[in-house]
Amino acid sequence: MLASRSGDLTPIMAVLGLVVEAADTAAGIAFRLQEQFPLAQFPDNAAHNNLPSLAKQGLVELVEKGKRSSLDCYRATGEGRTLLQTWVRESDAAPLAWRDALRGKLAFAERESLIAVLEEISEKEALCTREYGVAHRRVVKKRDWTRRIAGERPDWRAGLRDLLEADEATLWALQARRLQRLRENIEELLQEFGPESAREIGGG
Amino acid sequence: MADLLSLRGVRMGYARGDRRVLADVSLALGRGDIGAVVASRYEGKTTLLRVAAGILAPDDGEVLLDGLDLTQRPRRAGERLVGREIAWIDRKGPGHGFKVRDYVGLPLTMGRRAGRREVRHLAGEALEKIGATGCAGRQWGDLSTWEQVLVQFARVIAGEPKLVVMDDLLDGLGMRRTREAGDLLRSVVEDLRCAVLMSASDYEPALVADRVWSLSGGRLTVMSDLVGPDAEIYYPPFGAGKDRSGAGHGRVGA
Repeated sequence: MLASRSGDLTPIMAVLGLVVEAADTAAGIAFRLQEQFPLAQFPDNAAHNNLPSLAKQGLVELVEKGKRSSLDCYRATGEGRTLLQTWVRESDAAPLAWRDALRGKLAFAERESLIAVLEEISEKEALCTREYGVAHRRVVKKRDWTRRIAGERPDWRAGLRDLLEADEATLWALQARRLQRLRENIEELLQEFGPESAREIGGG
Repeated sequence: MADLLSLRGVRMGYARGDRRVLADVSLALGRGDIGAVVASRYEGKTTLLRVAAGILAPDDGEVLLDGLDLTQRPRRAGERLVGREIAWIDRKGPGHGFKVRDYVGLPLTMGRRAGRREVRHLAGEALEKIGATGCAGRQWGDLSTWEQVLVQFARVIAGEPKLVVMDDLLDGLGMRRTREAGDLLRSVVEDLRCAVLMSASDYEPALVADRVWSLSGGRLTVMSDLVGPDAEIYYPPFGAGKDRSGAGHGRVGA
């Protein structure tokens, strides 16, 4: 099963996609996997583990044995290309499974544990803000750079990459904002119940 | 670099109970900087922009433009400032019945910086520079959204202000047009060495800015700062997102 039932991008499908995009060594695929999908947090050995499995299924083939397994070079087979494009075209319109632990914690929080959950929300908010900063910088610097090479019209694939990078920045910002709202609303709720309950929650 | 625009401890409230629209807002922009304030509707973006442009006096705090305190200025001098040293640009424009060429040349007529013929000439040049010559003889109300953006940029080119204040001008343009507008704006800013303070309702337009703030509950949160003294230096994103402690995010310096 290459595709995931939860709607996630599986590491094996991402590895197949990268080999279809360009034949490469296992180390090269591992590098591109982290470069193209930094948010997915795939394990470092995702390429090395999945390439032999893909080869066994006939979706990629070994074209050159390297001195080390990380230097083994793979390319996609016709079957691999077909499978990837079938997956790309396949509709997966089921609603996303949303298993946000934070919502679960809030649902089950005792009053005295609310402060700890609030702290976690604050930390996550700060992390999302920081990630927005990283993504924003990447977009701005890349745009600055391409603006300076006048006359270079990017192809559709480069355009799509730009769009994904901008989308990433927007996603971090929206998540940071959502967490900020959530935190502010919970703080307001605590205030509404007066200083007594705030003291109670703070353990005072 | 010295700040061109500086807001310190700005507070502003309307009759909305005890909640302030702006509660202790501080920000700074240098020449060549583009800053974006992102917020939902009714969060106080336009109020903040109006305070920064000297149109509204805050209840408390300081607003400095090139060393001049806009909160202390005599009213009429301040009115002349907006139009000459400060360009306020939005989608509303001058309304119907206003020819584009006249609108673009308007900042030049303030304080009689140029004669009528010269104004027309400079306005035509600015429109040509931005690629909107075809709009010159048309009326504001007949322009498309994109043409309105171009005309507003032409107005900035013609007026050569120190500060450009953009109220939701790039909202809803779509990714391609936003990027195009960002490239044009960047060229204008580099030519004039002015600063831009813009507002936006979502984060897509903010991708043209060097500094991004989120405005919520009357307070600003720094979302990203690529030019300030606290700007961090980042390596490319390889491996980013793996180490949630922040130490492994490819950052050096803090």
